[in-house]
Amino acid sequence: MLFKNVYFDLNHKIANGFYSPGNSLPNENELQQIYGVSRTTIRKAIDQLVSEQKVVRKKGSGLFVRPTISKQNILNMTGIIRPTYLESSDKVKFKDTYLRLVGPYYADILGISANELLYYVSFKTLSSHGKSFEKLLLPLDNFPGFDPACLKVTPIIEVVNSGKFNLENVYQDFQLVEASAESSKQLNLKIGSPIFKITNLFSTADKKNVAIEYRMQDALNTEYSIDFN
Amino acid sequence: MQHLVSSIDKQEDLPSQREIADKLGISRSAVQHALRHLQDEGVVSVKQRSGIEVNKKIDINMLGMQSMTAELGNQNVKIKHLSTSSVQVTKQLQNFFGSKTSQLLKIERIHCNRDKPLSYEITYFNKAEFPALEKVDFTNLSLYQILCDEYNAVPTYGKEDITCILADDRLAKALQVKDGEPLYQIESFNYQADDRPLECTRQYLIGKQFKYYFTANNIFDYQED
Repeated sequence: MLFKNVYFDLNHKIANGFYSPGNSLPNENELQQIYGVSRTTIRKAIDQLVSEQKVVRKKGSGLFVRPTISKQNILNMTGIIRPTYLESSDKVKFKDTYLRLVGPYYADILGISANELLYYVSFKTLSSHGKSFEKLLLPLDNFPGFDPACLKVTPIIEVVNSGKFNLENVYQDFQLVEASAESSKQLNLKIGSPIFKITNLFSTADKKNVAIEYRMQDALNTEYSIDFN
Repeated sequence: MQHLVSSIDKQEDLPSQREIADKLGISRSAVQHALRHLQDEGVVSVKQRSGIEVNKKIDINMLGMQSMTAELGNQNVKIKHLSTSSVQVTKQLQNFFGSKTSQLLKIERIHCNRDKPLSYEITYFNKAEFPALEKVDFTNLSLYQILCDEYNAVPTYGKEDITCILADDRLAKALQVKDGEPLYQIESFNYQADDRPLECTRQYLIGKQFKYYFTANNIFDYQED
């Protein structure tokens, strides 16, 4: 068997999830037996997968399918990529949608003039992670055809990517703040109770911020987990 | 307006609302509006009577696999070593350390910035594996540095759970905050490259002093992986 065949077979098994991201591959000895080829052949196939960043060699511990980076887990968890609430669309409840002037604070973050218009959407979501109160801020100029109803079926990241700019990066911060009059009301908490506030800044390849999302949750009833690789 | 407030907030504490309004020549209600905004952002805490407090935050990389000491990366941060003791493994910790582990070393430390506590940490090790740690005085020493130097042990991967709790008597005392102050409670379980459990730590951080962050680039590529 040629190294190309071994390579194609392994590549296929990684692509279809037979060997899943972050998990180990059989070691070189085992692969030799599976494919009935020489060590050199295996090594050549693995080398190619390593150079294509599909496989990671870890000294002393063997071969792994490259993890899809723990960031994705967080993005999933905090709802940017595939919020679980979208599985059933009636769990998004709109509170407010209107156009307003950006104002100096957001103008600064978005790098636009303070007199431009901004879509301001606030909504509540119910998911297995509990209740959260969210706000999405989109400059009208970037999102001329924005229809808030799409939030019921479209993940926020895709909504943000539907604007004039190509989305590339997300900066997220996570802090413990006191519930304001508004968030306490939306989350049924006392003013001043601790809430986890997540801020997502969506930006283009050249670091221009194109949208802002806030998510607030009752901190005493929310748990986040992070995996490190 | 908010810009003006943020330019003053480089100071330790803000002047009163009236003073801000006078200084900037604007109305009290404009000041209140701006403060509400900054309060929402977690930048300041406004307390009845006691005034406006600026929440200076320490940024921590959410995906960093670094020790607290390295994350803080500040010359002014000192470590107080409270105690080291031997304890019996609990059920929960046995899951992590494995059924052969019976005795754990429990090390309690406090990170301080200019003598003000920032975090309180309780770390557990398998005593059989790291016996010499019992003798170490961790005052101003990084735990991970010692593990690396003495045992060649490096945390490679792990899991962290973040929750929020309100400080009880004991924690309020240790961190010099009021009872009921919101704290981050972070439980981390760290492994070495060869899958051996290394240490498990429970950390309490004063909520308003820390902000976690991360940056994800090429997010659509992640999705396709």
